[in-house]
Amino acid sequence: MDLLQDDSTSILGEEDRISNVPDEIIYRILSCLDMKYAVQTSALSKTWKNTWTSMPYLNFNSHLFRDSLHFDKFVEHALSHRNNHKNVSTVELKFTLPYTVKRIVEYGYLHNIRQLTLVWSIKKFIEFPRYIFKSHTLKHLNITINNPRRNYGGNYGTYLISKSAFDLPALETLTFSGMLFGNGSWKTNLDLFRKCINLKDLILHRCSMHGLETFSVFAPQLSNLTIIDVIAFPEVFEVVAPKLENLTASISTRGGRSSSDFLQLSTGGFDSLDKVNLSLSNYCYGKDKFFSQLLNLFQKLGSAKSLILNVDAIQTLSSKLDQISHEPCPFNNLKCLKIDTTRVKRKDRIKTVPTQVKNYLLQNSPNATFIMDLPLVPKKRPRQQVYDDTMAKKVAKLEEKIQNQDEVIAEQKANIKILEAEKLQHEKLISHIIKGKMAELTVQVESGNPDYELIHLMGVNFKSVIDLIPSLMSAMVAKFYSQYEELKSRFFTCIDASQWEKIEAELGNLRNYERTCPNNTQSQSDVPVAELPRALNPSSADMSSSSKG
Amino acid sequence: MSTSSSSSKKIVLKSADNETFEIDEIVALESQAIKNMIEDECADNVIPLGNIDSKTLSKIIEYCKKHAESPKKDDNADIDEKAVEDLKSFDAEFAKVDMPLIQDILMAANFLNIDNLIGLMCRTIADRIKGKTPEEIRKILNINKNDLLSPEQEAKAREENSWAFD
Repeated sequence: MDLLQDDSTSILGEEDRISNVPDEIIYRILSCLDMKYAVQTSALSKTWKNTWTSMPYLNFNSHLFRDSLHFDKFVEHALSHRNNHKNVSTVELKFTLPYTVKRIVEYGYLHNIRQLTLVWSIKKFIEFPRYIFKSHTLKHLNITINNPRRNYGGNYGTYLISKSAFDLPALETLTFSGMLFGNGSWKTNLDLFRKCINLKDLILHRCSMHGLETFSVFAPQLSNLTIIDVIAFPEVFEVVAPKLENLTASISTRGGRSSSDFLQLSTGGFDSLDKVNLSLSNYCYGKDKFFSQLLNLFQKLGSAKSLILNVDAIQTLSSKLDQISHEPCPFNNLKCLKIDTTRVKRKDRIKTVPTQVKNYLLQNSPNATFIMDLPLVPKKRPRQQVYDDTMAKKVAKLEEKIQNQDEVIAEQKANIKILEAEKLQHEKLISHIIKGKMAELTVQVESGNPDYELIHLMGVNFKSVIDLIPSLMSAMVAKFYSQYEELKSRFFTCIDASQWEKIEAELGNLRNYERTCPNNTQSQSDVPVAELPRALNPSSADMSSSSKG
Repeated sequence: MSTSSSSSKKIVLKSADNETFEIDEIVALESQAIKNMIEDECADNVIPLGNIDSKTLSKIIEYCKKHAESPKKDDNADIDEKAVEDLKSFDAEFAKVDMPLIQDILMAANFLNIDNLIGLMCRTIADRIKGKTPEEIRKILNINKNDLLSPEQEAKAREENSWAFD
């Protein structure tokens, strides 16, 4: 091979390296490009002219096109110009409107597709197309539903209600992100995976199974099941998977629906179970909220060999120490118990796992390793630690302390950022609402013939808006009253004093209300500050005045 | 280039320009091709790589070393994340070389069958030609002038695929 170190690109006749690269590698390069750019390589040279037509990777991204019409046209051309004899191994599709998708997917399915990735940015609420779930060659399927407005309560997304099981016998890995299973109607059963006899990995991320009576996973080969950030659980999560090795679940639903906020497995029988990684989030509930459900879940997972629990799970178990000391140990033979202390806020850090909880978990597992990484507090044998104060230990401790403080500072900085963003949003929102209502009130006043019923409602609205966010209250109240006074100064031009009195009465004596509140923006520190973490770090000078606790 | 570290088994690679590189077996195993040779016990003391020059080979060894040392997927999720991040930034730095060397590494990685490295080089090349005009891409990839389409042919190709050039 040519070992020229001179990298000048203009040596005539020098063999260009890229032409020596096998087609498979060129296809891989092209696979990193969108189809549009891959096709454009046809203009490069004779070698490249038809290269793209045989590549087994198809990457379509509708967002690169002006509109769906241009995208449809491109897809049609690309597929009809493609070498029809070459198999398709991978299709990746990013799209908004579903029309052309069918054409692409069916083309892939006709050409022995092995891997399909769909990323759907959806702006409607519609049923997910069922033709996706019928292929005898597909091994890997990844479906992501991006619903940009979900956080704002928009009713967008796709739901999957198929009564018949997926016809995907070759499928090995399946990922759903953002999918709604069932259409929300109660008492539906969904049994989708029965025919996926080769399914090994199933990931359900940000999915909702709200309203489902049972969500069944019958999968004889299933080895990894991951259920994270589920929005709503079904009443019963039925898993029949004798070869299940790893179960990862994060339970952090925020809804209050009792039947759908926890993972309730109907059966055990996980004889091959190796690792269970369970994290709870006691988001806005008491720590004991999931106590009995957690115990029930453990009953099903008795054969696990290694168990990872997060701090919230330990706190849940610790919430009823009397009860837990009488519970039989659910685990037959743990080799390892690990407490995951990452992503734990400082206030939630725990120093140790109560003996009762430890006994409950480890009674049957005398040889289990117990791991708990704590930056500040020595684990395992705290008593011995007291006598073990060598210089090195001290240094280590100090270092840990410093590291810990750094963490706290970083944590608080992040908190403040979030708070500031939230505050800004709330401020915008509230001032918007008040502005709107104030305009309505102005109209009423200026009409000279106020509708008192309407004004009464406005009063209620004002109050509820003002009550909404205590941390912003004083600022908003001040704003409100300055606007209010301004309006009042105008009232004589349109209405008389008795009319104004009546308006004030109908608004619900907001002036009295004012007296119960801090009456200027300077005294904000007296305001009860909701959602504000305690003990903000005083060194963070960039925090807003209203956040000083 | 000898390392005096552990007592682990060593493999010696010899580049096209006769430079030898002694590396830990574990590093060499990143190459599926060498792994197969070792498993079939047809790897002698020295493995000659007649089509890889020393400049390319030392880059490849740098890559394999880093990837061999980096902890593989295991139960420790938090270590995983950190290691993944670390590898990512290593890869990003590693790919900051000129196009001829990238292509040499790609060819060599293909020969040695180091899948991650092939992928990295492919992504790097793709990133560099993404959104560029054919003329720019020809220059970047140093496409052989003898291989170029005649102006008429190129016009025809563009015409045929005009739907992709909007």
